[in-house]
Amino acid sequence: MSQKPAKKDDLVHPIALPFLWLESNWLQSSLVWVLGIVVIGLSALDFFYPRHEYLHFAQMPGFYALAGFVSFVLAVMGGWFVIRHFLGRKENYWDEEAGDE
Amino acid sequence: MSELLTDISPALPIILAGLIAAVVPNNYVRKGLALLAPVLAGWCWYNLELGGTYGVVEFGGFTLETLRYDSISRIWSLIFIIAAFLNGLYGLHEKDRVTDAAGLIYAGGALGAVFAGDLMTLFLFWEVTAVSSVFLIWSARNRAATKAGLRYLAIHVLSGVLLLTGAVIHAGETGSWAFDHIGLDSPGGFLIFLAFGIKCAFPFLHNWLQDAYPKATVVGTVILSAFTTKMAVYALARGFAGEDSLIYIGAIMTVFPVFFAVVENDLRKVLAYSLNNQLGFMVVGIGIGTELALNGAAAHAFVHIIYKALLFMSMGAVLYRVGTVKASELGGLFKSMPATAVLCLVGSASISAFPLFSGFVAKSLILAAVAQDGNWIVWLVLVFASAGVLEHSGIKIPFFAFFSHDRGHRVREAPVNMLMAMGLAALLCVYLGINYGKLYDLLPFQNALYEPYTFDHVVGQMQLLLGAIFAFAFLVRIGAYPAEKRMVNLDSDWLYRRLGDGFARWAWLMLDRMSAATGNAWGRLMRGIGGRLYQVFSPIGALSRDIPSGVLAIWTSALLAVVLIIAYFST
Repeated sequence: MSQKPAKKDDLVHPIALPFLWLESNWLQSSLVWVLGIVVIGLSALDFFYPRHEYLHFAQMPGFYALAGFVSFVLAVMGGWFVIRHFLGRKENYWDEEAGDE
Repeated sequence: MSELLTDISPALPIILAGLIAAVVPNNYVRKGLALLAPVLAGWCWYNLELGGTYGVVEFGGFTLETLRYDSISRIWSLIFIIAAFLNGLYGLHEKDRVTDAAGLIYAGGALGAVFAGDLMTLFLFWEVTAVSSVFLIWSARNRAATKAGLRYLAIHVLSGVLLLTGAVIHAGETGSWAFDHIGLDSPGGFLIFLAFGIKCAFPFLHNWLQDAYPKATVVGTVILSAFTTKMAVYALARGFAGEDSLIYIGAIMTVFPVFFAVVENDLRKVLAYSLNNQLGFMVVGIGIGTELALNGAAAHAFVHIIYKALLFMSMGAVLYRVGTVKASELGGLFKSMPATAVLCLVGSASISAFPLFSGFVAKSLILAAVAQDGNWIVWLVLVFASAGVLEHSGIKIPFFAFFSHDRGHRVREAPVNMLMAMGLAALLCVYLGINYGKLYDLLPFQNALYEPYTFDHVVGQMQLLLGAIFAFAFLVRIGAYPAEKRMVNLDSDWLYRRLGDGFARWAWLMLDRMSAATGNAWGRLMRGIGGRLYQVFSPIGALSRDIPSGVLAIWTSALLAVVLIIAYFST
C-alpha cells in the first residue's frame, strides 16, 4: 500500500508551525507603517525628554533615527551602485574556486 | 589540586591536548580532549594571581616570559578559553583528526601569545597560530580551500617575518625584548605595527580574512573567527595604545566592509566582512588610548568573540544541513531550523547592539570615548558603521537565511551539540547584556566608570536601530533593496590574485624569452669563435696543413734577418 507523499508544509518543524504568519502578506505590507510610527514616536520623545550628548549636534530631536535611516540607505546604495556595479563579477571569475566548500 | 595548577600557563593543557589529538585515532578520546582541555585551562586561569610573570624559560640565550598575567591579558585569556570550549562543543559531531588537533593547538597558540611577556615568545606563538590555523582551511579538502590556505599561510608567515625583523631592530635600539609599549618612533616599531596590522586585517592587508575563512570547514570557520584577529587587537592594545593613526585606520575598517557585505552572496563571507567592521571599532578604541577607550576595545573583543562565533555557528549549521550558504539559494529556513533561527537572531541582536544584549554594553564604551575625545568626524563614521552592522549582520544574515523567499529547503534541525554550543553562546550574549557588571569587572582599567543603561543611551540607540530597520522595510517595500545574485565582488585580493599573478607570469615569460635570446646570442658568439679556432687548429685547419720545408726555411730566414737588423740598430 503506497503512502501519500508528504506535502511541503507537512515537513515544517512543529516549533515553527505557530510562526508561519511571519510569511503573511499583511505583515509585510503593514511592517513599514508600524516601524514608521514607532520611529516617529521615539523621535518625539526627544521633545519631551531632551537627550544629553557629548556632541551637541547629536542632541537634535530625532538625530539618531535620521542617522540610522540615512546611514542604512547610504550603505545599501553604496554597495549596490559602487561595489556591485564596478567590482561585481560572474561567480566563476576565480575559475574553479566558486562553490561553498 | 589548585596548588598543583598554580603558575601553569592555561595555554599548556590546550596545546598538549592538541598534540595528543594529532596522534590519537579514537574520535571519542579526541572529543574528550577538546572539551576537557579548555576546562583545565580555565582552572589554571582561575588559580593565577594577577600582576605576576611566571613561566620564565632560558632558551638559546633568550629569556622567554611565557606567562605574564596582568589586567590586559586576563580578559583576553578568559575569552580565548571560553571560545576554545565553545568550539570543542560545536565540533563534537565532526570526525576529523586534523581539525581537532589544529583547533586545539591554534587556540593554545593564541593563548600563549596573549601571555607572552617578551617579543620572542610572542613571535613563537604568533607562528604557532599561523601554521596550525591553516590546517583548518585545508581540512575542507578541496582545491579552492587548498589555494586559499596557501595564500593565507604566505601572508601570515610574512606577518611573522615582519614581527621578528621588527623585534630584532627594536631590541637593538632599546636593548630590551620586553613586549610593552612599542610605538611608531623607530623602524622596528613600524615593522611590528605592520605585522600586527596584517593579522588585524587593516585596510588593504585584510583580504586574507574574507578569502580564507569562508573556505574552511563548518567547524574550522567558527574556530578561525575567534583567535587570530583578536590576538592582533590584543597586541595592538599592548604595543600601540594611543597611536593616533589607529583611529583613522580603525574608522576606515568600520566603513568599507559595510559596502562589500551589502552585496555579498556568500553569507559566511558577509560575516567575514562583518568581522572586519567590528575589528575597526576595537582599533579606534586602541587609537584613542584613554582608559575608557581601552576598556571599550577589551569589552568589545570579549563580547564580539561570542556573538561572532554564534553567527558563524548558525551559518555553519545551515551549511551543514542545506549544503550552501549562498543567500540567493536560501530562505524560509525558520520552518525547518527554528531553534537555529532564534539563536541566530540573538547573535544578530547582540552584534547590532540592541539593549539587553552584549554588544550594547561594549560598543557604547568606544563611542563614548570617541565623543569625549571630541573627534566628531570619527564618531559620525562609527554611527554610520553601527547602522551598517545592523544591515549586514542584524538583518541580512537572518533575513536571507531563515525568512525572505521560501526556497523549499526542508532539512533537519542542527545537531544537538551545535545547538548546545549556540545556546551557550546566546546565553552569554544575553547574560552579559543584562548583568554587564560581570563584564566590566574584567576590564583592564577599573577607574574608568561607565553606565550603559541611561535613558539617553537607550532611546538614542533604539532610534538608530529602528530608523535603520525602517529604512530596510521602506527599501524592500519600494523595491529598492538589491536582490541577491550569484556573483563575486573583487576586493584587494585582486591585486595579488590577478594583477600580481599576471605580472609574475608575464615576468617569468619575459625572463624565459630573454634567456632564450641571450642563449642564442651567446651561441652565435661561441659558434663564431669556435669556427675560427676550428679553422686554425682543427685537423683541416690552417695550422694542420702540410707546409713545404722550403717555404718554412724562407720564413725562418726572414725572421732571422729581422732579428739581426733589430739587434744591429739597437746596439
